Amino acid sequence: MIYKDKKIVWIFLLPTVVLVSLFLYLPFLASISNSLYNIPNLAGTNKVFIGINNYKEMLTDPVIMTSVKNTFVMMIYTVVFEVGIAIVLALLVDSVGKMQKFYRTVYFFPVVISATAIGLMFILFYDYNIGLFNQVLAKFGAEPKLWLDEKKALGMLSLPVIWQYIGFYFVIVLTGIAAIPEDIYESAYLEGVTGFQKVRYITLPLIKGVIRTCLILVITGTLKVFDLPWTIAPRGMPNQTTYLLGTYQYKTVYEAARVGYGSTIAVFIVVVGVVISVIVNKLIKQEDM
Amino acid sequence: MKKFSKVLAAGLTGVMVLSSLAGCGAKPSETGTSTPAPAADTKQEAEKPAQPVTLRTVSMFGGTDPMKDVYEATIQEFMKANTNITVEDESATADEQWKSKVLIDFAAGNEPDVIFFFTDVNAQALVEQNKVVSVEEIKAVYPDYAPNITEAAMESAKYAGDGKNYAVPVRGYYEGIFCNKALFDQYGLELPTTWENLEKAVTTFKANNITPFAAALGHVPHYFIEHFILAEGGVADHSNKDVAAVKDSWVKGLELFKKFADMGAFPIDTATSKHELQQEAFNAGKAAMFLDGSWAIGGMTDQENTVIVPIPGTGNGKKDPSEIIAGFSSGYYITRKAWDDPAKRDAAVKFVQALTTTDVIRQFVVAAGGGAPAADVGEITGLSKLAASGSKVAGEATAVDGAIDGWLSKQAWDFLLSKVPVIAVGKEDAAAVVDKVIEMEKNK
Amino acid sequence: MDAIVKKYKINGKAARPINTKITPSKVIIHAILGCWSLLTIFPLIWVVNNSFKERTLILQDSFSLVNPTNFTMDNYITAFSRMNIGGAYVNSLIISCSVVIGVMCFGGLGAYVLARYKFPGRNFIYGALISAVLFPAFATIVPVFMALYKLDLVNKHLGVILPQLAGNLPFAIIILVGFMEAIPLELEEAAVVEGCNPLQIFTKIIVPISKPSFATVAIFTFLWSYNDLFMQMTIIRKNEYLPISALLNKISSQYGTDYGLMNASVALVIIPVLIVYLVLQKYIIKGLTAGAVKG
Repeated sequence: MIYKDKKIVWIFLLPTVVLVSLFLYLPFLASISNSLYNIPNLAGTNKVFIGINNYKEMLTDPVIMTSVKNTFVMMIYTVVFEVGIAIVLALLVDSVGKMQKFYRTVYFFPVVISATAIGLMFILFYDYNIGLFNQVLAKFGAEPKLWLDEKKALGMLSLPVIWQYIGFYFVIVLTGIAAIPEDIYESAYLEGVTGFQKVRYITLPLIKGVIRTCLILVITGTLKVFDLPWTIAPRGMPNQTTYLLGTYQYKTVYEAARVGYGSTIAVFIVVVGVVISVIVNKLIKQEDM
Repeated sequence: MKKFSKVLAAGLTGVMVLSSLAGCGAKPSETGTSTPAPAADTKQEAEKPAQPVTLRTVSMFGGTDPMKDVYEATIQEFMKANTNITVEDESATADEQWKSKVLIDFAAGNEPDVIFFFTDVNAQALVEQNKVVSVEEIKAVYPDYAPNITEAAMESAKYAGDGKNYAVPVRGYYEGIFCNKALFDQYGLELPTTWENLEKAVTTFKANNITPFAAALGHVPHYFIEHFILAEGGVADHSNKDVAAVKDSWVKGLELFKKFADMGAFPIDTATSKHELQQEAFNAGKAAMFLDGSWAIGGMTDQENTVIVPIPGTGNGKKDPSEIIAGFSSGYYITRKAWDDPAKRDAAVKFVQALTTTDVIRQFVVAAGGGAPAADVGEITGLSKLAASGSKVAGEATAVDGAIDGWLSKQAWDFLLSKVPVIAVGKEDAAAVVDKVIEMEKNK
Repeated sequence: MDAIVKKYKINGKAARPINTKITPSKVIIHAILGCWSLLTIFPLIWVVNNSFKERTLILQDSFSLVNPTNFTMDNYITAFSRMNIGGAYVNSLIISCSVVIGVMCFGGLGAYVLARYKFPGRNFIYGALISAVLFPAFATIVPVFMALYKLDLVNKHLGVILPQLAGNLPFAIIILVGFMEAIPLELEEAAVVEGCNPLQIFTKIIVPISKPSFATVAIFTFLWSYNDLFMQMTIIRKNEYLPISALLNKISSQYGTDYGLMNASVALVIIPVLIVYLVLQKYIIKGLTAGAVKG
């Protein structure tokens, strides 16, 4: 092993450790402490210590159950479609010579547009009276539809989230493919490995690490996804059926001014995220693709 | 025109004093002492050697707020007249995050010197932490502070927690049913001045494929909650902060959501639509009625054929037809920090005085296209037919009460908001929801 | 060292034969990619198109193209007349560029030791960084603000830079560790033989080889720092210090009451991000990996 000098480790890590502890961990420890209190406003006045009552409430809160269920459903959608489509697009773009630059550029567009604007656009897609979807239906002589009813709403909320962030994972996967040394492909080419086989036996195994990174990012991202769903369907509309952990946490703190309970949900989000990340790491390490 | 504004001024003044005396027990201690300021006082102050002072101010006249221009022009004029004072304005649009930001600032000690903020339950942290100075205390030193503000406005702008005035109000609001008069005429319907008229309008419009109420119950059900409880219990029950005592009116009021939903009063997408889109549908003539406050007047396309009508009583005799939701819920505060700073005290007082002159208040009301002025501004010209109809409703009200979210705890209010669409579709029982609200209010 | 560089450079130059023939499979691939690009170009056109419409028209009819009868520059005029756009761009660049540079330096060093060294506490630190990605900003903002206030950093650029650095480092390290672990060790072994110290290995070998992943990290760090309204607006209140996205958001109001102004703002805001992306994405190119060792 060439890396024996361990002193350097701490010098290199020092800035990161200091910044992350100061601006992420200390505030988060404050959140853990806040989760044991009843705090009726953001200024933090009139705090009352209530022990683990917030945690007890969380276990029986029906909206938390809905949020957890919805978050996991959306997580499945995002893992399958967001990462899946991103990988397919990256492989396809990598395989074409011409137009590559064009595709790389335009696929990034949705990522840079703010959630407020994309949210408004989707609101105007889905609206019953003036929405684009119902305008299209009307052109074909079909009856207008309620796009955000209880059955479809969660899927309809996942759609913009997935669509906006495919460009993000596309860039990451493309970076991973770019890192594969060219000579590996050349020797494969000489041995007659091409097309689908090349992807299956060379590219995918070599970007396994990148895919794992993407999965962890997509899972942690879904656990705290907030802005788009909140813009399109605030307060879990319709009828509190589309709350996600991220949107419910926000609502609890900012709309209901329940800072203590909101902190409890934040702690819960982090715990769930750590557990899933560990599982993903173990799964991908064991199973060779 | 003259008639309207006179009615408005006289009516609103009388009404608000009446209702507040009947409503809450807190006796006004400093009202009635507002004698006109001796002109000499201000002159003396101006002659003092001027030391440079910087005032930080925060208001909700940011973004595209119609009052923004008047506010900024007034600041500029103020700085021209007082060359030693620099005003740093940090205004932004008022939303939940903005409110939170203000509260965090106060908690951290980063509060401004003068702030235009709510006087309702949102002000709780400011008052309880002794961060703002009461008008009474300011008047003890500066007797000519806010002399032109009407007693009714001061009364309505009191902080409900201790019944004291901290903020100087500028403009009040009122709420009512915005009706598309052209549609009512087209179907030979009378305006919803009685409960029968209202129900008939709902069923007739529904039968003719016109949405009776443009409403986004999943987004902004606020106005409906207030108006249904008002329709059922009148101002007397609506203003009663002991929810348990008026539980009956609350439950029956909230049950109206289910009843109206069953009658087809709300649009099909009411649970998922947005308030702005519903206002747009109302503007487009696709809906006949829209429930909102005086701040929505500016956004109405048809200022000629839209009228504001108070919600009628349900017929149990508890509500007088003229009673409405109205009040003064915001104003200028001077913070304790500025008051205790000898260099700033004078400047802050002068600044608030400059922002609350009768002339500035008149400009605010005109810019906003209506609303109740906090001072007797005389005749207001340039109001549209719609704004005038609203002013008339506000002026003729025999009793008014502020919105429920002005005093209900945020936790209980948020719970209530989230339950409205669920009650409307019949998934949950109004009585159970009210029980939970009562419980939350007890535990706060 | 030269030997290694030479070897890889030769290989790097030998580009893969690009098939220029038009085959049916190519047509299908281009058709798929073309369809997706329509879906991604659409929102940009929608935003720019609506930025030339009046606010009321957007809610009524947002999907029709502007025409001479309803075309208006008012939204842009409002945006430019209400504030100092140039100054706001400068604020944004100061903040976001500092964050990007800081994240690349600290994140690069951190990722390097996490990817290459085995030391007690390594897994703990790596795990802690992954968990830090999960902290919702809403849960940490109040204590962060209090701390910055005590340090007298409110209303200062540094007050935004520090928490944004901390917020982006975990993401950067997760990405960079993933890539650095995949770099074959032989290069570094050869460098050690030639007497390089760890810092030299990092700057001479790891950084050049990881250029694509550094470019990716830089793109996203810039994007997030630039678009992070919540942090910017909480810590900076004075208009003269506000970055462009926060300032534009402020005038078009958070919950979008003026949709025309909002679309004009979005159009103005995305220009720098697109420039940064176009400049940096050219480093994410295949086949140069090894050849780039020389820099």
